[in-house]
Amino acid sequence: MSKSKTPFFVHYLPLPPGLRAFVIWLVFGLSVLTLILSIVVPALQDQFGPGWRQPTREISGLLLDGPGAPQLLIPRPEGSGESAYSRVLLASTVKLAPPASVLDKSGEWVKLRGALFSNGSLTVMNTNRATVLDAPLSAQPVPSEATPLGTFTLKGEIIDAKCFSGVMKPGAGKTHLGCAVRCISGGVPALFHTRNAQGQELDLLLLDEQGDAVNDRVLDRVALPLEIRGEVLKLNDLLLLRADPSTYRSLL
Amino acid sequence: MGHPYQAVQWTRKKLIYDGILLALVMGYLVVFTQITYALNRAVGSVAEWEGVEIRAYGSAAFILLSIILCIGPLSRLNKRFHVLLFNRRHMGVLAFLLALFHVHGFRLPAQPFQALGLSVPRIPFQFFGALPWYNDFGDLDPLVSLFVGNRHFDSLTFFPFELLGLGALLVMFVMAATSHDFWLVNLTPPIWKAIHMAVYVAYALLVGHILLGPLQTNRDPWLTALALVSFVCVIGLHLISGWRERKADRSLMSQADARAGEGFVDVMALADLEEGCGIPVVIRGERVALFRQGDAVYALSNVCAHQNGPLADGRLNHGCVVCPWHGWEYRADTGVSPPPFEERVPVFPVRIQEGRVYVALQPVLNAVS
Repeated sequence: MSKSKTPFFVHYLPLPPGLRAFVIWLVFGLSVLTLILSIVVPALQDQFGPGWRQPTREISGLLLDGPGAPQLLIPRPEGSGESAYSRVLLASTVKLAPPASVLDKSGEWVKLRGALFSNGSLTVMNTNRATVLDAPLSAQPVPSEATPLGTFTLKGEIIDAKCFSGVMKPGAGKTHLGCAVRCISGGVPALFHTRNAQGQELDLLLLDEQGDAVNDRVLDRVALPLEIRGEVLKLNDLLLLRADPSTYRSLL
Repeated sequence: MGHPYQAVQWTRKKLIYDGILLALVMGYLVVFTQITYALNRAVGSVAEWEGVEIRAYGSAAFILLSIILCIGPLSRLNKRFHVLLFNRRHMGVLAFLLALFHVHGFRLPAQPFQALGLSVPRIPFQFFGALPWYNDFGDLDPLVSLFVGNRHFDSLTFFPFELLGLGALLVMFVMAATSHDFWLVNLTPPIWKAIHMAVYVAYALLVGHILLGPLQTNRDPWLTALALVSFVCVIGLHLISGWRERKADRSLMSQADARAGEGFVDVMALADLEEGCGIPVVIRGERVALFRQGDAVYALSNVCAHQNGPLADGRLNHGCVVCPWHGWEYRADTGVSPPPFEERVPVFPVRIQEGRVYVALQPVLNAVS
C-alpha cells in the first residue's frame, strides 16, 4: 500500500476513516482478552483451600498454657479416656499469642469469645477475651501425660496454626513465609505440616526435647522443605512432635 | 514549552482512551473477584477477601505492564498501533496504581475513622495489600518485617521475592512521578528517556517476583505457561521489531555510504519520495527523516524532541512534520515547532540534482524564520 494511503493517526485530529475499523477490532480484541484472563487467571490461583471460619462464638473449657502453646480443653459429650477432651489451639486476633488478660487465667475453667478456624483436624481460636467460670462438677480427669506413638522421620514444612487453619489461603508455602514468620515469632503455635504413609495430612505441634515451644528457634526454617526425626505423641486429639530444633534437616 | 502548563492536555480521544482503559481494568478486577468467589462456593470453600484482592490487583498490574511493553514494538511493526501509543503514559500510571494497591491495599475510606479513633465500619472495596496483610499485625514493623522475615538470599527457590516486587514498585513510582511533560522539559529529554527506559528493569524485577513467588507456591503448569506466554510476547516482539529496523538501517546505510562525497550524500531518487510522507535514510549511522512537498525536499533528524518518536513515520501537515507518537509538530524547513511552542530538531541541507536527492552529512543550527 502507498504510504500516503496508510491512515495516519494524530490524537487531536479526526480519526482517519481507514483506522475506524481497526480501532473497533482492537477494542473488541482487548475486551475479549480481558474477559478470558479475568476468568482463567483466578481459576489457576491456589486460593481454594479447605480452611474455614465459623462465626464469632463463645466456648467453655479448661485453659492451659501448654504443652507447646496455649490451648483450651473442651469436654466432649459422651467422651471418656483420651477422647474425653478436644484441644483447641489459641492465638490472638492478630499475629500474636493471646493477650496476658487471657493467659493469666491459665489453669482455670473459662469462657472464651472469638473466631474459630478449622482445617482438617486442626482447630484454632483467635481470642482476646476470657471469662472465668466455675469448674464443672462432672468434668473428666485431665490427662497429664501424652501418649507416645513412636519415633518417626517426617517430611513437611513448618506452618503457623492460625493462618493454616483458614485465615490465609493458602496459609503455607513460600508466598506465605513472611506472614508465618511473623505469626510464629509473635507466639502463634508452630506446627509441622506433613503426611503419613497413607497420604493423610497431619499437623503436629512442635516441641523441643524438654516439651517446650520452639517458636524462636525455628524462624529461619519456616516454610522450607524439612525432614524432622522425633518422637510423636498424642494428647487427646492433638498430635505433638518432640525433637531438638538443631536436628531439623533442610531438604533444599 | 512556551505555553502555560496544564495537568493533562485532554483531547476527546484521550478521554475515550482513558474511559476504555478504566472500563477494561475495572472489568478485569470485578470478574476476577466474582469468579474466585463462585469457584470457592463450587468447592465448598470460603474465599479469603484480602488474598483475592491482592491477587487481582497484582495480576492486573503485570498484565497491563506487559501490554504497555508490547505497544512500542507493535507500533514499529504496524503503524496503526499508534492509536494505542499516544496515551501510553496514562496506562503506565494506572499500572503503577494497580501495583501500589497490590502492595499497600486500598484503605482510604477508613483513614478518617482511624484518625478520629473511631471503629472502622465494613466498607466495600477496602482491603489490606500484600505488605500489611503478610507483615503487619505482628511483633515487628511491617517494613522491617519485609526485609528481615525471609533471609534466604543464598537460595534461588526461597529468595525473598517480595523485595523484587518492591524494587519494581519503586521504579514504577519514579516513572509515574516523572511522567508529566513538566519533568520531560526540566530533566531534559535524554535524562527523562533514560529514566523511563527503566521500565525494562521494572518488568525484569516483576518477572523475577512472579517466578520466585506465586509460581513457587502455586505450581499449576497452566499458570506458568500463561506467565511464559506474556514474557515471550514482550521479548519476541522487541526482538522482531529490532531485527527488522536493524536490517533496514543496514541496507540504507550501505547504499548511502557508497554515494557519499563533498559533504553531501546521494540518498535516493526524487521520484521515489512520496508527497507528504516521511521516509528514513541513514547518514553516518544516524537516521534522518526526508519529506517532500512539491519539488522541495526537507531533511530533519528522525528523533522527536519530545520522546524520541520516529519523525520519518510522520506526515507533513501545512508545512509541519507531525510526529506519529504524540502529534508534536516541527516546521519542515527549519525544524522549529510553530509558536507558541519552542522545541526544535536539527535539519540537514538538501540539494536536488538530476532527479536525485542529496543530503548534507552535517546538520545545521536551527533558525526561527
